[in-house]
Amino acid sequence: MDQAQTELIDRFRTGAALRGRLFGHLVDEAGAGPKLSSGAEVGPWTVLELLGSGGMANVYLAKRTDDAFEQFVALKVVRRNTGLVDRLRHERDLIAALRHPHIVSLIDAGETPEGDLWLAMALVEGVPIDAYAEQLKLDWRARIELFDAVCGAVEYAHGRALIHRDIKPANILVDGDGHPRLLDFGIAFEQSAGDGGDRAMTPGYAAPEQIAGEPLTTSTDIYQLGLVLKRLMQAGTAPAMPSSARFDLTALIDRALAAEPARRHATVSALREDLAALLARRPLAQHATSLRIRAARFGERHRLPIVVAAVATLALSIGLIASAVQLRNERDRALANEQRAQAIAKFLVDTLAQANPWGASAGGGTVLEAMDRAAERLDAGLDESIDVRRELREAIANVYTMIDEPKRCLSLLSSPSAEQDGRAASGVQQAKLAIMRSECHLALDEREPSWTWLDRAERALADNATPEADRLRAWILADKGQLLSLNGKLEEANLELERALTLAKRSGSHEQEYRSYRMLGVNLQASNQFERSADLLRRAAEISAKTLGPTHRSTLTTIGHLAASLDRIGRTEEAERLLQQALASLGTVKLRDGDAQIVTAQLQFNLATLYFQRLRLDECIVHARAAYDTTVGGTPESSSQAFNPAWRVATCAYLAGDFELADEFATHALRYAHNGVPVGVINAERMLAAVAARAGDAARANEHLQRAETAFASTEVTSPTILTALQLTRALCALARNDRLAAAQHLSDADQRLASGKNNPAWLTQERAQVAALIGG
Amino acid sequence: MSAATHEFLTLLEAFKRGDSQASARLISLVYDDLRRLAHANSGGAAGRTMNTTALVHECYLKIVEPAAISVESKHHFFNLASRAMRQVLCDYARERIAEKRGGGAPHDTLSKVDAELSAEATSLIELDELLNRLAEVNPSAARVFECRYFAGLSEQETADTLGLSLRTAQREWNEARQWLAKQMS
Repeated sequence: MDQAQTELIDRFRTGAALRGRLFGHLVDEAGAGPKLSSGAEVGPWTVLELLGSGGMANVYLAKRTDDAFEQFVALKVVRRNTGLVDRLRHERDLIAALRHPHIVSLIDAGETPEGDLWLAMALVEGVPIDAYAEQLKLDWRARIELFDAVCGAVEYAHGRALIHRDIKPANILVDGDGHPRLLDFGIAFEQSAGDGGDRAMTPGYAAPEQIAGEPLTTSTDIYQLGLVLKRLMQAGTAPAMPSSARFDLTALIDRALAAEPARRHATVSALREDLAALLARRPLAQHATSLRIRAARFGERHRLPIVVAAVATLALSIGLIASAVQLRNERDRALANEQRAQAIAKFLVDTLAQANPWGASAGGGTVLEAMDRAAERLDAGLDESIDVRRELREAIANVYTMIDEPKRCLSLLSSPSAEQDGRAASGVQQAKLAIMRSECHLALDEREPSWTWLDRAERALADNATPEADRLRAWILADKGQLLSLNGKLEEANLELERALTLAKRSGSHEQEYRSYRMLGVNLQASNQFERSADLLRRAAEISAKTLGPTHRSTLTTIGHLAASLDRIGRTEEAERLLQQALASLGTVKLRDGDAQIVTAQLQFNLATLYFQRLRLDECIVHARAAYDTTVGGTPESSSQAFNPAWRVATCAYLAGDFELADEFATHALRYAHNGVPVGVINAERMLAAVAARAGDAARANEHLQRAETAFASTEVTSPTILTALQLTRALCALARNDRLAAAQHLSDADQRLASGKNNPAWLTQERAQVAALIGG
Repeated sequence: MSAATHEFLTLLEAFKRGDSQASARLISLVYDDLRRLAHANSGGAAGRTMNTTALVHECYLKIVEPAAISVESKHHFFNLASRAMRQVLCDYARERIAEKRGGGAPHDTLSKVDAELSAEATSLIELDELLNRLAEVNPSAARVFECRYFAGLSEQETADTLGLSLRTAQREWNEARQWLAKQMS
């Protein structure tokens, strides 16, 4: 028997077929689950064809199902994976908000009824980065520049508290124009902890800490970037390099590939500094003391007990609070809030880059406590550079805003050392801080200082003509528009918003463009200009659907407003269909329950309003009650959000003659109106008076009427409807105390107002008829 | 019979009838165990030596409820499973090779991993064809090889499953290996 035969016999061992790679692949592919055939529906997407499969997922070319927006995506369907689902619950907003030219964006995600996870991503064509370098025979500089672009993308994501976890050439596609794009951010698969640390990492691209099953940090990505660079510089024929550059490159790669995370580059920006030095042929930074590293040391020295459990909690509460604020004041700040969330994340990740954020143990105090301590130390720690202090202060201020602590935010930003640091800041920086202060004042309903700070922000930008300055100007003007509209000055508000829109378009900021369209659309609705309002809101919805995804809360709430405007121009059926569709699509989004709840409430309320306009009172009551229940379940008692749906139920019940229900919900509405809806106080008290009057309880009716009158006297009311309704209530109360003469007088006053009003709502006419009948009878 | 056993046997029947989705579902039934098995053995996890036979057993026992099953049906099950393992794996190998020939994805660069996989698939197909020939001259030895190589059964289990004496099973395992090695080299 010859040597070869002996070797072959040795290879035929028990279970050898099960040890091969082929079996591993077979299992992985089977794990991806049965393949969907063309036409299958996943969430709002329709599968067209299979693009590939592997790991625990199949990837399909898919198309958005409804005809509202035509969109093609790469749809990844991941087999039931609780670890990934849980993490996405925390990170989805952050991942969805990634907007970077070198990152393939996640458009939408959800779960199938079977519990599989689906992820809709932008379609990219290209070849893996190493194959690209090989095919084009790129020289060493071109390779490093290409790699640096990828690092830029990773740096951007790290600043937003996201770790990629699976950076490898196959995940970096370079298109025909030479633009690299990073795939699958934050959605690398991990097995649950109970699985013996057996993670589905890519063999050969796993960092030592991944193999050891230790928690992953931004350092893990740096390690993987190091491997990609190494591979890239060897792909095909290794390009010629000056020997000193080669020496530096080796040193750079060695540092990135250090087994111990602490010995690697502290941040991607440090890695990029080395790349820049290599390209410029400067010596590499041996002891890089970049801002971020000093920031990290600051964090270390003061041992901020912020654990990343806190990041997760925070990311979650950010979403909730953001939408709470948004709903309360009809102010859409969703996009701005996402930016804030990112700034906070940047602080947490950057300062604690070395502290292994993702694997922190439990405990460590609340975010608020940690922030308070950090703020205190900031003012004491004057040895830090101004830049570091300012960056940290901004981050802490952001956290305060997010957790609804505007007072703390203001006191942090107005401390003597903050003021002093602020004077040394650039115009753009000063403007940003001023905007933040303005928004804090607004959150405290201090409108005058809020306006003053917006003026200052505008002045700080002076004649700066950069797109960034334009973006901030658009922001300022939109905020001013908001303030004006809060003060009932709709026309002036619209002028500011039109200007904001122009600037937003010029600056290329989709976020500000969206805000302007949306606010203007909402304002025009309030000024009865429904045609244009519908037009603008449709644009806002389109931008939002494109940039944030069709099921993002901003898109859906904008659709809610759009429906309202459509309804008012007689396109009721279209409006009703849009709302029903939006509510249905919410059913497929399971990842962010809290958010979904708030958006659901809003859409239910929109639908209720639509029925209300048509006096379809029973349907209105059903949806308004649902909106009320959903809102009460998801918001604190101290907020005013539940006012609108409660008030809607009360009005419908009243008009439908169900005075008991009207009384109950007017009482609810009153409770929430006291949290900052002065007009609501007038309305609710008025209705309670009317209900009591109809029940013949003159004393109680009078009591409520007096309160309504007091509230009325102290509030600047411009709406003719409220005054007319109040007149009618006065008439009812007069009737209850048998003063028919006074009642008739009030009715005739009301009639005069109605006669001069152009767009008298149907309910008001109906109420007038009822009161007249009571007086007449 | 437990629900899992029933499902497994139903799928096995479907698979034999040529239902292409059956093998995927078959595997997904015991997916987690198989995955552990596959990854424990593919050399990625350093410092961990896994007893394949033990893992295979754990996997089978998940399907075949140990308390409820008679010795005969256990043997019957192993008999089926070893054939199924071979068929599933070899079908998969053929599929992969066919896909590669068909062009596959437009930008599918043949990486080192892909090349290795294709080589493995090719030699597996060769082995499969040789086993068919062996079955013509020595059917019993071919069955022994199937049980041990594809299903990871031990000597004793193979003997029990095929109703052979331990000595015969050992001898035929050696004969099969020598015959195959000779044909291949």
